[in-house]
Amino acid sequence: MTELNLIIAGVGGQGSILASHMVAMAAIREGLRARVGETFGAAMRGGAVASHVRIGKGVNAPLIPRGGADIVLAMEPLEGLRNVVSFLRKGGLLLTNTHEWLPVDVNIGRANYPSLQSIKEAVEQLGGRMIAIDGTSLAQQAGDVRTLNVVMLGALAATGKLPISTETLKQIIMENVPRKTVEMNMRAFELGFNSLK
Amino acid sequence: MTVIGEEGTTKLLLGNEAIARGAIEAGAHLVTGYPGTPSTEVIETLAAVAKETGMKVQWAVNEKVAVEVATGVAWTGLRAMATMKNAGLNVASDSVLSIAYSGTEGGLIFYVADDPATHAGMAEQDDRLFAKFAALPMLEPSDPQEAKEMVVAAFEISEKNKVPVMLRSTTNTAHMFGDVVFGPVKKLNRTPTYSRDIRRYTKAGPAWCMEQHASLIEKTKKAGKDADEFNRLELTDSKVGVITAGAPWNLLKEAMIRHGLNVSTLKIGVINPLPEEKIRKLLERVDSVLILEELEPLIEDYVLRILGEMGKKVKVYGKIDGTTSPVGEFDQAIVERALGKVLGKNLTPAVDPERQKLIEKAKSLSLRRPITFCAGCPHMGTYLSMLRAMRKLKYSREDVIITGDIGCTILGMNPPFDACWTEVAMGASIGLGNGFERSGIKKPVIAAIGDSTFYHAGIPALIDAVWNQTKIVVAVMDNSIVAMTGHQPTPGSGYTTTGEAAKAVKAEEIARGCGVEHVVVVDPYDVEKATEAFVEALQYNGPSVIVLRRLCAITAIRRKAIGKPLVIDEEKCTGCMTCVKTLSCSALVPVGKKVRINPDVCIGCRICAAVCPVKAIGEGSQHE
Repeated sequence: MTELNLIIAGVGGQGSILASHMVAMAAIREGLRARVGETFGAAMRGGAVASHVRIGKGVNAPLIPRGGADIVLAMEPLEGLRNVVSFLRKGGLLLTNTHEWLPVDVNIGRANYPSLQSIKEAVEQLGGRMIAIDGTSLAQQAGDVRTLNVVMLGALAATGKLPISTETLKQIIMENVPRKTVEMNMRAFELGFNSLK
Repeated sequence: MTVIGEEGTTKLLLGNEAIARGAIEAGAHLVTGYPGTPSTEVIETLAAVAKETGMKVQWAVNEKVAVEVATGVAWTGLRAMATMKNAGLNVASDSVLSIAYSGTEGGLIFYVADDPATHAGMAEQDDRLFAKFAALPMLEPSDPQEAKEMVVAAFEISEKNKVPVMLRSTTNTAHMFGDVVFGPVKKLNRTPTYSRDIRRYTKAGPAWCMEQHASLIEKTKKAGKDADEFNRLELTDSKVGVITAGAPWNLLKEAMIRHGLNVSTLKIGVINPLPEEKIRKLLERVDSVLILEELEPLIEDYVLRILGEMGKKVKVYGKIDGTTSPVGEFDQAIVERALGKVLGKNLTPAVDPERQKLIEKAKSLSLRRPITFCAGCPHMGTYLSMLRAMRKLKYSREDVIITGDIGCTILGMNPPFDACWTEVAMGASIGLGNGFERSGIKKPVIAAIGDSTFYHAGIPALIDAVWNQTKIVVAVMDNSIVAMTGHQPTPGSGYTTTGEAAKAVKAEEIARGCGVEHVVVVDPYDVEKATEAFVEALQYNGPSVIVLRRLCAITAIRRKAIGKPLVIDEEKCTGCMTCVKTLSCSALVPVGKKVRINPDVCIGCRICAAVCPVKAIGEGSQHE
């Protein structure tokens, strides 16, 4: 693989930014070149957040070209779709959590949240593939809903599409989550990893 | 990520973290600034390691004060830096322009982070023009490694030429992670000295002033020469050249690799003064030149001038001929289209109309996600109370002008509150409000402003309201933190940037000190009392201030200072959705025809309990 373009998307507070940093750190640990770009303004909970991880020799700019993402890893389905529309290449993969975080317009009855089926159809029509897992439940099962980002990283590792070893990624996660939560996060990683088998 | 490490270590750092590392390597004595995306992380990073480095790291009340504090330090011969976002430089500009004339003794850097495509709000101003305007040298990096190197060099160049140096980045550099190799850390141990020299440090006489101006122009020229290593010229035998700077350089390099292009390039690192010699060398070689720069045609204008002097005909592609737009930031497609135009090649894949249709269809499913208040945000209580008070006084939504301000408080403009009418600049809610009142318009005015914004630039406008006898309600929404930029302390927080206890400056004391006679402090979680406070203030004939004080919910969670999650009594809940529609709190989750509270998110603020018409919301124990 010469280049991997990965978007990690979610809602502010779901840990997608930390997840993207961990993937990039793992790449650098393995001697690869990595860049991460971020597309958000406010450090707020509840806003759309997307982090661009780029791994490869020819990578210079922090943001992925439109239609150039190999994978969109989504902590939330709508955010997955949003980034698929702008960035997923033909033949790319959307790996998404199924748990919805409703935008305000849905809550107040001004809009309807798209069904998972309609998201899947849209992704496939654009030449992509979608895998959905209930990451939120797995995170709860691991011990804390806040381990969702690590559950999703586990699932991402299980796709075999990362140019880095699962061991290195796990090592980086252990080094970067709060010490008291290492065991729980490793549990989360395994749950995510095994959910794709 | 920590920026402490041995020389030779390689770490993945954000552009702003690399700038922080540069300040450490250069032995800076003090770094100060005001939080503003995308500049904030420099000080955040330095504050986290201040104990290890011994550096003074301080948030200032605003950017003007930050620039003055940094300058005071630098004039004693020590090294200092002030950091700010684009709009912050506007606030600081009065002092920056004057300081430029006096120069500096110790290395002095003013770092400004611009935001093409306005990811973080505010105008897309191009502060490269500011350097020209202030006649100050300016450097601009393209990636974190270069950012660090430029900081170290800028301190040296500033000191050598006795002139402050500006460092400019944009979001795509400031917020880019890349690998950075650590250099050695300088230990300067200088003793501060300062002697009276009014010919240099005052502007009292026009002769002195013009002398300072002439000297500034000379210093900046020399500083530009000293930084020339950051202007990288690579000539090939191609008749096409590209001149670029900052973030677009990365896009150009990628496009050149992807398409195997062999054009001559000049990557400019010194934005002011622009590298005339290297630009000439490139122009001598080519028949056409593409200028890749975001926002204003600064380099392009200069290139046209040089071409005029050279009397050479070179076709210039840039903003003026419409090759690129002065609006927004660049991406790979924009750069490839521009290169394709110059080279007469098609470098961008053709748009498939069928696929475009499918993209549009998928887009229609992607609902917008406007940012809303966090669960338990005290501002929900403020806007709820404000709107309730208006209803109590029989005002419709159209009857009361609510001026908004910068920061989380402006989220009151979004649904479900739809409250704020304006957003201009830090502190402008009060000044604008004064103006609306003085127009004679028959609508009461409420200015909604956060605490940090109030300290930053709201106070002069409040004094103006008192002095000119303005009937305005100023709601100081005091969550004791700069929330939007990531929870930095404010003068009212009671502690410093590095966590030491400090005297808390209180908004109500300031208001009274300014001469406001009607000043009330309420807890926005207490919706009844807060509503009453707005009812009284709206009827008061003169300027009034309501301080709505309650710690930011996110900060409260971090300090474990939160209540127990509330519970909705399913039997009592009629499914009217009033709570959801009024607050749209992320803890309130519609499940079927009823509402449940997500205990992972709820912090027990009880604002929703005040909204529920059937009193179905309360503490768990009462309902179990």
